[in-house]
Amino acid sequence: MTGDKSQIHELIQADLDGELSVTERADLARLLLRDPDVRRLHNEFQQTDQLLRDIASAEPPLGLRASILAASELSARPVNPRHRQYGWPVYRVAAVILGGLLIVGISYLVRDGYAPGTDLQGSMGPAGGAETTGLIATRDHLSMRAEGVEVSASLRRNGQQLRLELNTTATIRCEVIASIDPATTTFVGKTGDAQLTAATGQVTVQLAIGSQAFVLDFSGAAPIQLQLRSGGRLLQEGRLSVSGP
Amino acid sequence: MNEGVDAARVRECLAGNPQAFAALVEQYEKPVYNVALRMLRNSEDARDIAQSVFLKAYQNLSNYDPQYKFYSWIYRMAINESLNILRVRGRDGGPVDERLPEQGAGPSELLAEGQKREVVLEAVGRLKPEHRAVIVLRYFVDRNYEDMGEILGIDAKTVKSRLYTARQLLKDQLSSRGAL
Repeated sequence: MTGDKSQIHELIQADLDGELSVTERADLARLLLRDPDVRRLHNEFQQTDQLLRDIASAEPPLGLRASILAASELSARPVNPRHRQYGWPVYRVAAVILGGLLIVGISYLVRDGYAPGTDLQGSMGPAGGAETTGLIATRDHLSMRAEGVEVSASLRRNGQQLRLELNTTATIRCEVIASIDPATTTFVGKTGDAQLTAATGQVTVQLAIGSQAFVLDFSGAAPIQLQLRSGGRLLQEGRLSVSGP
Repeated sequence: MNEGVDAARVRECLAGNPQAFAALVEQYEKPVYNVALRMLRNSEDARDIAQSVFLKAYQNLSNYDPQYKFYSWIYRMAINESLNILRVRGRDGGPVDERLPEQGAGPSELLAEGQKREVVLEAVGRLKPEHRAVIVLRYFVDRNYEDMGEILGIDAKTVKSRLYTARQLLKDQLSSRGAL
């Protein structure tokens, strides 16, 4: 092949992408006439290009659009930034100061042996295993993280029942197992493709890939045990308690 | 793809019109699904990613910067989610379920075309994720250099260079498999 090789390649690429100028088109035509190696290379790239173009677009599965729209209806509505409340820096500063004072106050109460009037008992305990990467439990909230998955769980009272909310982001297939009685459990709603299955004394939320939210109401007592598992392997576990009587 | 229409739909959606979001989903459901499908070669994963991308878009619509094209924003999310999966599972991305020949061809042609299609998709699947991404954007959602740069967060020169390398690798693979 004669001539500047990188320039020839660049011209062929631009030709495939329809980005050649008039001058460049003439340059390429000259090269193709003059050099059989350039013709062969051009031909091979054109065939590759055509094979890729011949692959038709795949049709999305039936029901995908409906499930997206159903999930978005369950999700929080997007808010126009111009209509946001508490957007003023002064509110943010005030919130930070108030939050700080609250934390200091609570820490004094705890240090002095004063028990708050609720039985909040968040607990934590990462599962054994080298891949455990983090677990933080705080009262009625629990965060579980492992490679490829994050789960945020919360438990609160909802009338006579308890409400378990799970927000998850997963890049691997995994499941969250809650030690609650399926017989007293009501499915409230979900986003994403998470699926619910039940066994004696436990409810399993099978997470699909992506971000999902799942809400369950159940009768029973707190605390409850949560396990994060993937392929039968325990990644994380923790206990979740609830505020209120 | 009309950027003005997309921007108007985003504004309507933020103003509380759910039909506007439905219109965006209708417009981009197929290309977002195809981006994920061609990146991962698994229809179930592609479906999960498409759903996740639109849900994230909906939840973060107020953070969307209108100086970028709406489709660039959601294609970027689809590419990134696919890359996350590839990072976790390795370059092959796990199970592949694309084995179907194309529709519409005659019986004898069907086999040859189906086989050729499979060889091409397999060759795309063997590319490194950054090369696969430019091929997917160029050939399966028909983006130009500028759009690809915006979606991938790289400059046009890098786009051209990656595209060239990707095509060269594909050409060599297809040639060695007798597809050229």
